[in-house]
Amino acid sequence: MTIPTADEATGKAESKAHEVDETVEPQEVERFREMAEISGAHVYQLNSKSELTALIKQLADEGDVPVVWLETAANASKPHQLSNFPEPTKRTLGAVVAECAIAETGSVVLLETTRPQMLHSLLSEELLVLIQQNAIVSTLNDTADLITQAADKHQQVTFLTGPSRTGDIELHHVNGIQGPYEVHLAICDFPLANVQNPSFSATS
Amino acid sequence: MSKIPAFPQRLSTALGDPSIAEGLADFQERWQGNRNRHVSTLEARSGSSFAELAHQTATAKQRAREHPEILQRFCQNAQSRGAQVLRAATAEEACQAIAQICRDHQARLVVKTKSMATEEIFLNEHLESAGISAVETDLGEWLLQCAQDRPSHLIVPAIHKRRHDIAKLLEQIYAKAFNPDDIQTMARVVRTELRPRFMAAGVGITGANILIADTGSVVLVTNEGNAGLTLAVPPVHIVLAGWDKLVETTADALQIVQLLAKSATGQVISSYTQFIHGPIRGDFDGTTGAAADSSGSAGNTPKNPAALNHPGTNTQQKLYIVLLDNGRSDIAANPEFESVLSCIRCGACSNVCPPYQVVGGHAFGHVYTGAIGLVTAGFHHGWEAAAGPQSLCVSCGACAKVCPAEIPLPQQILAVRAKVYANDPKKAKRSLRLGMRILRSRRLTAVTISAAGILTAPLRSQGTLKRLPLPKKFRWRIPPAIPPRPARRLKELKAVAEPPARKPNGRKPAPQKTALFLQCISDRLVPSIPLASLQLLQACGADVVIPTSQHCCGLPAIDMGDLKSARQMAGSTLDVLEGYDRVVTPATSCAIAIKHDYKQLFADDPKQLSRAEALAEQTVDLVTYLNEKLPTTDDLTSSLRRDSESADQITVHPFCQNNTDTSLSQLLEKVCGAKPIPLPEGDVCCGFGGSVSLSNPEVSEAILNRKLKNAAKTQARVLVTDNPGCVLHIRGGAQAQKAPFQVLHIAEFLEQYLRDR
Repeated sequence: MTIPTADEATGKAESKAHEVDETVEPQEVERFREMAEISGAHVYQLNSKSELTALIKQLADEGDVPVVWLETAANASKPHQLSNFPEPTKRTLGAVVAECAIAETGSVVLLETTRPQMLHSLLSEELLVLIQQNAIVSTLNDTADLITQAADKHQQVTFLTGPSRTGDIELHHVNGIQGPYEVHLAICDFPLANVQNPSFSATS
Repeated sequence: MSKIPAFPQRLSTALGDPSIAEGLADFQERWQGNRNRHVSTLEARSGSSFAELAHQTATAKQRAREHPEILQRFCQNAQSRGAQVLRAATAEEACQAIAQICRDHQARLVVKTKSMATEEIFLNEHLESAGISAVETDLGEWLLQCAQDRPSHLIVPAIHKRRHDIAKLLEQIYAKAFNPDDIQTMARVVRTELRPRFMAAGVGITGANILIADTGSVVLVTNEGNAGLTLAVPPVHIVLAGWDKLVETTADALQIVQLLAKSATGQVISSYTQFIHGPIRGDFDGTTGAAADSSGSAGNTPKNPAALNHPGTNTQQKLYIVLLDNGRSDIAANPEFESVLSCIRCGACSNVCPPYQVVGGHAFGHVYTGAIGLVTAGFHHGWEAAAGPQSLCVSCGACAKVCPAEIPLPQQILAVRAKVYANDPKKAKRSLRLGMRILRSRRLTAVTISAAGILTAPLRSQGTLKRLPLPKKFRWRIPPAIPPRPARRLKELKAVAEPPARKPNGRKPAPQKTALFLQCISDRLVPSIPLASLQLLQACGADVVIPTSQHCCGLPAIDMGDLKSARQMAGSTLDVLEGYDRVVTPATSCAIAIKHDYKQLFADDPKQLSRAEALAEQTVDLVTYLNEKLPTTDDLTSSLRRDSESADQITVHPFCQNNTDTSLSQLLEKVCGAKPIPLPEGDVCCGFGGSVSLSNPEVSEAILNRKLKNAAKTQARVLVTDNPGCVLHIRGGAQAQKAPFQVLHIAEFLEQYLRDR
């Protein structure tokens, strides 16, 4: 399987970096963290690409678990072939870069156009979402323009908040019903677009 | 076309199944705390109250309804992005259109995400009869489909199934044992069970939470992830949505999203909120078991099905949006009901509804459950479907207070009741109709109750009729003894009686006079309430008169849906009470009827309406009146006050329709010098609910039992309430259970203080 470099994988971050407010209030970051944790996600605050590399290695059990980056425009590999589809319990760590995140709800916002992109965030048993720290917005309403503008380019905008879950049996919360069991959110306080290829050797 | 058992059968099944109330009680406890916490946070963060946020939602939805061009814009935008939009006037049309799309795409298997609209049109049954299998993919819905059952809650469809039921069901399906306490394993069964179904399905069917006109988008709000798979895996996606899901802008949609999960599940937001802007691109190359369209074009049903079998690499999913009417246009054309189309299907109205908590959604609703279902059932499924469930509503108003779309559900349910009654008055219970015939006439009421008093006199015991042999289903409440004389015959009241002769028509009675409206129940059954009320008013310095021709205000007729009788009784009450400086009543329910319901009763009669508006201004309930007249430093207040210790022994049940009003507690605090003990779930109805305690006694009993349990938890000596109906109901239940507390009307309670002066 061809693994995109972090540059390619995070290419999207570069294109949108200019669109977001460069400064984000620390309390909004804290608020995002708090709300995301309430939703059942694991949140990490990272200051450098080496921290990101270390996190990915750790989440991928030092290489035992394949890491699957969401394809980018530059790399047309299919991260989730439907032929893998009937194996809902085979452990993979999917990784994706969020367009932005919402402090009020602890959600990350994903823009998706093709079926592989949509299935990527659903079919990974664990999902790692990279969030550019300055792409955290305060409220749901702050995403209105983004969603409206995205309608012309992206078939789907998803607010992902925590793992897939149900409360259908006696309101008992169970994660990982059809989507990920675990969602890891990495708030990155460094330019994602400039990350050099961290060592993802474990992912081949 | 009834695929649902008749109401009496559903009610009887529900009353015989204790797991319904158990499951709902668990849910309510968790939901209420989370919902309230998240709503408070939102209020603080947004700077708007919940009522203001609900108003914004209602305004956005109303704007979309009132401007047909917004719906046109939605259709145009969705089509320009590649969706095909179909309109279905009826359930039958929608079913046929969906089945035809499945046939066109040679789909024999469809996967579905929970959609109440598909339940509304009985889509699964229709597809089945067309040889197409529909598999539900939401855990709760899938379990219900396996059990050949149907949803009982808008959000938690299988809430009536307990873990043991589910373990048994899974054991039948998989022929192996499941541990009922291992909920995780049971829940995750669908992950492995349904993956191959997603793969094999030729069509995925979802509902829609919101439709956005500006972008032609469909919004889906879910938790499990099955919606994502349903819409992205099969080569064809069909959205079935009532057109009432429409809003104009993305900001309007976000307004709904921010309230939806908080109101529905008590979450801040659901796990997945998906804005679908058009058919998905690429990769529909035959990797699923279903056929894919290679044309790459969208918007038209393929004319040549053979084309479906040629996979291509640049393929595009087919997206169909079926907009359902099925009675919605009739609702929109009806000013009394049109606001119900603002519903965002959160189910909060169920979660706070006392009778729903007892019987669940199979009885309290038709397809749509809870208060909202009581209102819409008639429009979607005919008035016969609405007749039974609406009789369970206690008119407590709890649903309106939590509605995030500002829908006046209690009034609309009463309007449904009136429609059901007008269609066939004989559907109302014979005993209620007979009671109403008597109650319409003051004289007949007097004679009947007096005769009943004489007949039951030998059974009187300690102010009750506890020796009266009642049918078993009524034995949970001891009726009061019928006193030898009604309140109006007591010497204190006779002394200030004002016969109609002294108040000729057209001439105002002496100004500054305060009329005491006794209320029929108090007058005939609990004279101590009017007597104490008179003494309190006089102690406040009021010049009180008792208009002797007063009778029932008409509220029981409103509650029953008999609006003809209600107008007649309200008209007589206007004749009797208008022109006084103030009208005070110890019955908060009657005060609310006079102040609010009369305006609706006479909405089409300008002359009566203006009289009703004038009377509304003059009318006040006793508690509000005393709060006005008893400043904390007043001599009277001081003389009423004994010691603060007594407050430790009092709890309060304020009349539920008035439950945002804390004036009863304030009054007691003024008099007792300390706050009364808070009653858990103090703002919830006691179960009296107009005629519900007579028409559906088992439901009323269950609601009352919860109230009595809560009251016992406070260890109070006295439970004080402000409405005579609640007094009789709670007192009768407390006496039947030999509860360790006394139940008093606020007037009776304060009069005891006065007596000690």
